[in-house]
Amino acid sequence: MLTNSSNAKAMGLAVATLAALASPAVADMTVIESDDPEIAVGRTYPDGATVDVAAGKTVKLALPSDKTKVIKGTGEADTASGDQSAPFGGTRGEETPDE
Amino acid sequence: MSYFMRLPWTQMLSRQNLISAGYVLACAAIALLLSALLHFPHGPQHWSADMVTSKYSPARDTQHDRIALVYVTDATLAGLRYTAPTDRQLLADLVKKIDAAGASAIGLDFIFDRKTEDAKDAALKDAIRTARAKVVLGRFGGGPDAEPPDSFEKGFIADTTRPAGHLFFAEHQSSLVITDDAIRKMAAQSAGTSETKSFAEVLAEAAGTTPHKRSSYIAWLKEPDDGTETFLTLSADTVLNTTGKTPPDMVAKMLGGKIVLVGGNFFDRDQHLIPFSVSSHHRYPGLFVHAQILDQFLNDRSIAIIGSTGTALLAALGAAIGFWAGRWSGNRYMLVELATVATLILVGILTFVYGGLIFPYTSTLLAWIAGAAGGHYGQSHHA
Repeated sequence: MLTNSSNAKAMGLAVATLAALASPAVADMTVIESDDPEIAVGRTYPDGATVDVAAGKTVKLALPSDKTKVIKGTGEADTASGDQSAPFGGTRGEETPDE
Repeated sequence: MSYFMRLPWTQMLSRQNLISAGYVLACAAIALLLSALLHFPHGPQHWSADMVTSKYSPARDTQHDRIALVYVTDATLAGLRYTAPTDRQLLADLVKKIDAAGASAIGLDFIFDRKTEDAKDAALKDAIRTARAKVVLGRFGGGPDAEPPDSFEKGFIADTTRPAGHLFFAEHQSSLVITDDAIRKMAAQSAGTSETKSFAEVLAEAAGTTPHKRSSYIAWLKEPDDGTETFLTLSADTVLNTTGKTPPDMVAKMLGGKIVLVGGNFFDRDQHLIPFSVSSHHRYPGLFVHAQILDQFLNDRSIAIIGSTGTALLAALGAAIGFWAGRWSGNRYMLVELATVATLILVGILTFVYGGLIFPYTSTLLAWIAGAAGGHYGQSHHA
């Protein structure tokens, strides 16, 4: 579903190459969060593999270096950024005079 | 400058030059007045400062090695009977799990201002009290408003025997303009007990650092160059392994030895615009802002602004140079104006990158333009 080049643009696939983050001791990257139905939590990828995420979806990887990386699918369906309705209430902001 | 130096004093004190000098000073005074009363140009000044902050704040090579975040999310609370206050048994389980992972310190960005279920309240207090790690609680009553001395929050925090810090941030506010609700500053803190210090400040102290706050502005840290998250970030579900798919020992390997901040990432609460939002309008959880402030304390970073006096002097200087440039630029007036804009942008970037200073770009530019217009059109009138 994610590697078909003919619909890659329409799907807005995000591609991330993670070779530079390798740890020699551990080989796999592990999906620890995902809202992409094609990429399940717990799935592993070889270090340095390309991970394709569907448009508008987000996947978080635990890297072999014990760091975390987020990969967002880009494209028309991406709502991760841009206009967003403002949450209401509870901002804990303190109003202070101008400096 | 050479123009004035060549003039005899009598000529310099001519009526025309006195008017010119008065015009320049008036431009500076108006710029200062607008800045003081209206924080004018409020929007453009914030925009330019936010743009410089978002583009030129420092970034680490890779993910932060001392701070980690754990978020309780809407998904975490799905199935629970209530979402606020956050389930205290859930928080107790998280504290135990993070403590068992070997965290050096745990910060809880939650409000404990009312009771929930007695057993769960007790479980959380017990988990906090008995944790091996240093634990810091968030505090709501320690902010701008005084709290009743017998509040539940005060008793809850006292029972844990752990320190607490207030959870407030600060935003610009003026009676004459509408605030943009963006968080750029730390809230003012009271000196004295730890209860009146900020959450991040108390956490920094727990981590063995004496925080130095040179200004109220937050010194932001951009995402690392390698594309990892600024701070290692896990969901509570991952930490608690609610899906059963968290790899064994992963949590311990990731959180061991770190200062772990635990907070909420909910759609309807504690989401903030910050300078990084300038292009995307993306909102960031309050926990992320606390982590930024904590890093600032841990690494003794800071940024500052130029105060009213400095802003006035810059406006006067801008107006004077603008007046001189406007008088002598002739038909190259537009070219000089564009060059000035470019120069001020460059100055703003350089002072931020190398001086940790937010340059009052817009007010200086406006004073320059006013001065240049006076010099240019005044010259034409007298020619």
